[in-house]
Amino acid sequence: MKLLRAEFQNFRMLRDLQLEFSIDPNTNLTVIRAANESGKTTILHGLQWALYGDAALPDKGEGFRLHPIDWDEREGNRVPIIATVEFELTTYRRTSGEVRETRRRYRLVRSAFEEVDGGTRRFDSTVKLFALNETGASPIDAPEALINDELPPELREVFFTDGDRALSFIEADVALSTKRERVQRAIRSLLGLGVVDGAIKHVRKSAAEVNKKAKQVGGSDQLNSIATRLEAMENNREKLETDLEDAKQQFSAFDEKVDEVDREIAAALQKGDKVKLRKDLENARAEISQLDSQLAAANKEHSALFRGRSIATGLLTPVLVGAFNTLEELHNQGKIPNTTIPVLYDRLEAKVCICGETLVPGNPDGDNRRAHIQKLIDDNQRADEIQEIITDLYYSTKSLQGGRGAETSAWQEEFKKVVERRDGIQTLRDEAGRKLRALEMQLDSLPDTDIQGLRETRRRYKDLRDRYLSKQSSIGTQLTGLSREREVLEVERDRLLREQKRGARILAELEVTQDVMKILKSAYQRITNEELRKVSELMNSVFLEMIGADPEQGSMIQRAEISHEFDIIVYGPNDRTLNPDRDLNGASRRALTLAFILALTKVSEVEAPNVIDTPLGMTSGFVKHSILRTAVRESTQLILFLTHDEIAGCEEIIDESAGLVFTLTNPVHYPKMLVNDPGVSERRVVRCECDHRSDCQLCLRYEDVQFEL
Amino acid sequence: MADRYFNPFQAIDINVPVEFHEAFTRYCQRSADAVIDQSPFPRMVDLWFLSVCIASRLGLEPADITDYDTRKIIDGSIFGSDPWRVHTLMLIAIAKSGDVQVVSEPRQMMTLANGLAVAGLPKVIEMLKEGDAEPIWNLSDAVDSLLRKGVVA
Amino acid sequence: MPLNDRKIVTIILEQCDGIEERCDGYKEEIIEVVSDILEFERGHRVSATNIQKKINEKCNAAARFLATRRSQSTGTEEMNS
Repeated sequence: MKLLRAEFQNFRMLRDLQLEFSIDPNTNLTVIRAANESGKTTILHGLQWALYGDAALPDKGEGFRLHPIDWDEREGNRVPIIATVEFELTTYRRTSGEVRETRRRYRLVRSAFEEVDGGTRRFDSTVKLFALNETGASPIDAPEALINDELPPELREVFFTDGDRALSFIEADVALSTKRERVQRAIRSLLGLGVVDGAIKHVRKSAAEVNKKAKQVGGSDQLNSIATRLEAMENNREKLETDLEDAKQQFSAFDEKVDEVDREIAAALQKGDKVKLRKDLENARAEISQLDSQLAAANKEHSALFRGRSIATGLLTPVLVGAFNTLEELHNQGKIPNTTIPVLYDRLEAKVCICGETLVPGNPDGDNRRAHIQKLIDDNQRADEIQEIITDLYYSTKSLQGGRGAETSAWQEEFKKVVERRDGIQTLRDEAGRKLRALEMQLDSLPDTDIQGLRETRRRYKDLRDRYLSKQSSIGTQLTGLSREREVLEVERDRLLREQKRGARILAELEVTQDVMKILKSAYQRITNEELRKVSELMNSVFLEMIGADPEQGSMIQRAEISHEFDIIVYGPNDRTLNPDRDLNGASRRALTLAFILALTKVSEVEAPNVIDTPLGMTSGFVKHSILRTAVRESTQLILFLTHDEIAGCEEIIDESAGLVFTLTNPVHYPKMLVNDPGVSERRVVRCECDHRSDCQLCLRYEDVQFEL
Repeated sequence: MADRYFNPFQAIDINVPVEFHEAFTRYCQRSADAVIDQSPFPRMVDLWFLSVCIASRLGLEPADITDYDTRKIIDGSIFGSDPWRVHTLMLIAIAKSGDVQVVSEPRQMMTLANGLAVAGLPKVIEMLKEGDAEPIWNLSDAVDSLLRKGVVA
Repeated sequence: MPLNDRKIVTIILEQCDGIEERCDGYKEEIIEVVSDILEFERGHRVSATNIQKKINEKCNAAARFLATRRSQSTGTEEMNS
């Protein structure tokens, strides 16, 4: 298929727009120059809507308005929306040993109405297809079937590519099985495997029909029995094939679900694991409670500084000097009686007896002597009350005198320790408090995601996925066994048929179906193996050529391939696999997707357009040139929507390759971006014939003026 | 040993002028969950005793307690648990009177102590209040700096 | 009007080389059968047809050709289609 022209009426900002596309094989490039917000993406949507209907619109057209947003209701509140696409199809048919090429032109018209009475209501669109000939246009039935055959909807992304989003074949946020399925579907469709597959199924049924005839030949019970068994096996095989297909689909579905949950978990974990956070919170609270009791104990110690003896000692020692001196004097004058007692007290304190023997407590001899001395003290207490009090006072307060002359008092030492302890614990407590607050805030900011629940869901999906995988293997094994058994039985059946009078004809039918099957199957095999390899190789060379000039990526990326499992893999040094989403820069990812699309289209030898919006965004310099040159070379018909920036530096390539270049302008860009007033008040895309090197009264933009200056 | 540490103040009450009662309520811990930083003294006797010590340290003249309307705040039996306080009060009395005979006059000693307490209380209250921190810190810092200063001759 | 008609036709023709020439002109006959079947498939994709019946008949015709040729060479063909 080649696109010839398109026409839009009231399709969003395309109020009335005609586009033509180059079909000249030597200048297959059409460049539509358009600044941002000048209808590029709208045209891409418009073309797809024309071909595939609402299903091709964002969100399948749900809530997607088609009529111009500034539609004037005075023009009526029933807006007709029409998209017309004219295209050319080339068919090849083998007649009398030759392949004959035929070109036919068609016009596809899709129309819908939207009622703009307050809200927007759209009625189902109508599509009509006409074959164009010299005399006019003849309508064709079932236009959808033709379009689906020529440009299968599942290949929409191959033919209509949004440069910014065309990463569906490699993007990381879908399951591997989904990407694989997309790649596989694109390859199968483009390489025509669907047709061959259908043929294999139908021929197999024919063979089964013939087998039934073998049953009816008669004359041999054994033949009848074998044919019956083969029939049962065929039914069995059909059922297994259906089950296998079902298992594959279920596997993919659950694989996708596992991936979806994985993404949810990852997103939730990025914000924090609620369960883990709660645990952390508990720990932080326990730590705080522990520190609080330590702090309370330290406070008590602090408070105890004001009830203990040391504060009194500290404060009074210097002022009680007179009292001490009086007591000391009395002592010296022997006026403190009971001298024996104090002497004995002195000895107990000195821990050495007058005779020189030990009075150390804990020593058995010492303890005995101490008990004896204590008894002497008790026996000798005979003084009067005052003497007793003073004597008691003198000896009890000796320690009060001890503080005299010391630089710092015991209280100051204790206070210093209390301060250190309180401050130390308080610092830890403040820190723990901050930690707790941070955790609480983190917990509050968490979405109400139940990670534990998600993990459980993931586990269930994974179990189901694995079950379907194992089912696939089990069915695969059964099918292999069945096929071996069948081959043996078929040989035996054919031998028996040969023996029968009426068998020769049935045998011939069986031989024919078997031969046809053999051809179809080997063609299928060849397409999947060899053609897939060709797509892979071409994709690799196109990709490397595109990014070859990028020194940053060039040294890192060694090659790219499509595996037998239909995975697109990029290799770095030492055959290390790279993650296209993470390890490749924007330009390289774009190049890889374009390379795959172009290689697939090229190898399939399908004549199909590649319509690409903003293919050169995020690229510059030689890489940009190289992507453009390669795309032009590898595509049958290349239609590019380019911004002025994308065109900059690529003018010469466009000079050489473009058969058609024109410019689209959005008049609302005046006066900010457009130099001249286009004289159009409504939002609509206006076309002029200016190419990539020229400007006119309508399309002249300020950046161009500045550039020229 | 208990008989050696007899408490001469057993039967004598500690009386404090009414105007200081609020300070006692505020700065002494009256329950287990008292805020220590705000109420540094474990018991009322601790505030009373510190006031006595501070007055002695600062050489303040004991107030004449008869000039005040006083109320009993503590029973003298409290000293039974802290005999060192008894000794300290005696030493203070000896130092003030220069006569050791004073030790046989518990009421005289208590009058002196109460007089010193009344003289010292405003100073202690000032120490508790003056500063940017909680009372316990203000007081601690004030005591610390007092101890550093040495004695005014 | 298949997506890549020419490509498939070329590949299928190549695969035909691998089959046994069961009688004179058999290969040519089979190529015709396969080409027609693919044509039926293409047509079937555009608008549903009774494709199974068409394919059965096509194979049947080829079988008749084979049986006839064989009987001509051995003289034992039974003409009872």
